[in-house]
Amino acid sequence: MIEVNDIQKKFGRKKVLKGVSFTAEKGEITCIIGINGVGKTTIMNAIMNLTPLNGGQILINGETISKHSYEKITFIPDAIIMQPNMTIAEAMQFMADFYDSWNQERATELLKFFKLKQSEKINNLSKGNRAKVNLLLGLALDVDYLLMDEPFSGIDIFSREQIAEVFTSHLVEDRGVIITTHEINDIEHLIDKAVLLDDGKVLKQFNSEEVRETEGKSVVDVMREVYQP
Amino acid sequence: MKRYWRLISIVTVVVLTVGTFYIQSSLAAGGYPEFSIENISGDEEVIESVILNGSYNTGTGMHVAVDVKPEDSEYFNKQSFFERLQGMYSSEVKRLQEEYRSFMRGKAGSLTSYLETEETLAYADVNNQSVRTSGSEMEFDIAVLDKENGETTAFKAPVPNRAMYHQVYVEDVQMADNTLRVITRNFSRNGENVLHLYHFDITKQEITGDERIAMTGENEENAMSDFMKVRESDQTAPSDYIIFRENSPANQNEQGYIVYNLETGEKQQLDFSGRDVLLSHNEHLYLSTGDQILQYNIETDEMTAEIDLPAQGDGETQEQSPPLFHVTNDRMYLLTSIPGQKMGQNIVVIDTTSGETLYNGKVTSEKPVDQHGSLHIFDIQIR
Amino acid sequence: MNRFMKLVNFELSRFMKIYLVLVAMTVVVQVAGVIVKANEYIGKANQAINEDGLSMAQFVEQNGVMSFMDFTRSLWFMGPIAICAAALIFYIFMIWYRDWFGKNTFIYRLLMLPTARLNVYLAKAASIVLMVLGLVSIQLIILPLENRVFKWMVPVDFRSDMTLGQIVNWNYLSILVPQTFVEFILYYGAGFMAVSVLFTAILFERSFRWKGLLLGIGYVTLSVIIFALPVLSELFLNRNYFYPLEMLGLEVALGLIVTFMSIWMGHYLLTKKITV
Repeated sequence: MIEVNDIQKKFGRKKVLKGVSFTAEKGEITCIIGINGVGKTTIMNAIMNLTPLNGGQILINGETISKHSYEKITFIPDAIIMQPNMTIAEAMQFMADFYDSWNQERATELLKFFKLKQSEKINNLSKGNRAKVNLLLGLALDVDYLLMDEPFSGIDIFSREQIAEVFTSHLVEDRGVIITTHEINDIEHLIDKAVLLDDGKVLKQFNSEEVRETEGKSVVDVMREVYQP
Repeated sequence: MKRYWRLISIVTVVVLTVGTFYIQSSLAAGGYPEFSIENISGDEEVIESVILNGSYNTGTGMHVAVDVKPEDSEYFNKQSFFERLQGMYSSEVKRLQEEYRSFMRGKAGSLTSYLETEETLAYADVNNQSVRTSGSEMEFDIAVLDKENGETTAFKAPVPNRAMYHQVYVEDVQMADNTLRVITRNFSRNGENVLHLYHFDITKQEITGDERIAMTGENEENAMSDFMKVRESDQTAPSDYIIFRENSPANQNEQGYIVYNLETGEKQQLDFSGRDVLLSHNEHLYLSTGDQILQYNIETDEMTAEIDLPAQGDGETQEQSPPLFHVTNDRMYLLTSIPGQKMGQNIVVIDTTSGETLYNGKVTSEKPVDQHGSLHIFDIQIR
Repeated sequence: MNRFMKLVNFELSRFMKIYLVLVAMTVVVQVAGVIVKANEYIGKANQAINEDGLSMAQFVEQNGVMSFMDFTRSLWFMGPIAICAAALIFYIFMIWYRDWFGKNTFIYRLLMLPTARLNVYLAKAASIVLMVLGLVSIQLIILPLENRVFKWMVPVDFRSDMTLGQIVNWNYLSILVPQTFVEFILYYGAGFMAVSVLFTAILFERSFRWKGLLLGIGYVTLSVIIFALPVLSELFLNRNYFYPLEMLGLEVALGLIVTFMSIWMGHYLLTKKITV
């Protein structure tokens, strides 16, 4: 379980996170939703200890993050985080070199699934294919938790479909996933839990299935209620 | 492993190259000629403790400091780092530092600042400019060590009339009873320089006297164009006299010598008809005539010995510059260069009392020296 | 091979192309320089002997013989060294900033490696030191070759020969390759200290941005003051209180303090304050 407890973050004088709390379970897809730049990426960065907090605490399976955590939790930002002059094969080799949790079989499978060529240079890829490589490098790690920042933004429709397909496949299986997005359409049917964010605060968090069953509302319906009262 | 070729190759290249370089340079000679002193006549034991300080000129504008000893030579750049680190002090100062480590701490390296007798080690220096202070704050730094009980008396005193001076340097330190006498050369702001004698009362820790012994400049009576202290055989040894050479403004070529008696305060003019005084040693002065060394006694005011120099190969010993000269324990050491030769210098050791030549030798190099190279020796040192 | 070594190798590979260009440039320009300088001298000698009717001895008398130093003092020799030095000093900064700049912010990956973040810091420092030493080694390797080219081009009567040791001991080269191995360790130890101080200053800037820039400058100033304290105090008191050996010991101790302070601070910033 990832527990985010009352985290606060300031950029200069501007408070971006004003006490955000939520949890994400293993085996569930948690979606952090915010209409515009409201600190979604900052939350992801904070979970990965990529930016310091001004308050609050984040626990992963009850512990604060350490170097060992990076074998168990990984983050896929919206831009590719590899040396652009590497080929896909080199990037995969880099990951295999440094991560014990690298799963070469899964990587090969993903390569086939995304129809990517190993010899291709990351630099020369289309935006959609770059996003796929980014996803591949994260998904091929045997991690418990997967964090994805806006995996669908600025990507062509076919790539989006392909990526969305991954979530339902055995490639994600029983891992915990946290996704940030401002656009819910592609994955509405996939998400287990939604965290609605605005102005640095959590407006509402709920289990999508529960809401559907008890209140007969979709995630978008709840969003409408919350954001446009 | 193949993927790590960059790391492996850089580390290999660095370790091999740097390792080879330092192993090789520690084993190999510096590539400069080795010098030694070749015996012509006399007993080798006489020059056992002689060190000739010099420098080897490669002929391409580079000079390498070298010490030539009877058996071999030692280039400074072959010294270990730690030897070089301490090499900024003369061997005499180094000896003092080893024997009186805490007294010598923070003291300047110039031998003219020291006086050593059986009972005391005295030190005087002038702090000229520092980052903090301007020249107008210059002060004496005085310290006297009683060797018997190990007690140090140290104090500072402002230089009298210090606002007048640009810089003040200590030329010699002497002591009698409880009075320290410090001879300084004071460079005035108006361009003149004056030889001063300051008296310090060690018990009261204050300046008790200030005399002007000599000065340059045209305004003053008896002023000279320049003066130079005559080299002493042992700079730190006690002496009753201050001897300096004057150049009068009236006649540039005429050199007179002046002896100042520290006890009586009397000044005495000496005329050696143009001959150079090479060195002072206790009450004696040594002069060179070219083929003779004259010994003059200050106390009795007479020439006490005439020592003939051994004749050189072709009998021509006349040369432009005076020979290098050193006296210790009734022995004098002379280094004369052979005219027209860049390399061969003769070294002669003579008994000052008997005038007998104890040793005659020649500086030679093992292998023939590079045709452009030359050796220049500028000091004789006796260990 | 452990992750630190892998990181060093990785950092080296990221700069390898430019690095090899620097090496090639040094070799080509310096060897060309020997040839040009030797030709210049020989040309002058030929002209003097053939046209002005001087004898060989007269020419040497007037112009002096040529030594390898005539080449090492020229821009042909110093230029490549200066360019390499400038490139590596520049890269001390770029080795960090390149991970933040551009679309592909590689710093995410580096900070998320399952290894102590200090290893990233140390690997970058180690690769800088290795690259400096690598260039120095290349220089040591090509010097004898250049010396041979020189001897091959200039007739023996016109030249004064020098050994590698003599060449290295002269002028600024002895800063890169000091006379003794002890000094070599001291010089490059001090170099490593300087790199660690700069790295930590960069991390200050990366952690706190504008405010961090001032903190970084402050940190460099503090480090310089600590390291230079004995020298500064002697300068201000106008008195050499310490014996040379004591001064050396003191400076080594202070150098180690500054280095460890920098590494510890770098570790702290990387784990607690850094922001992508």
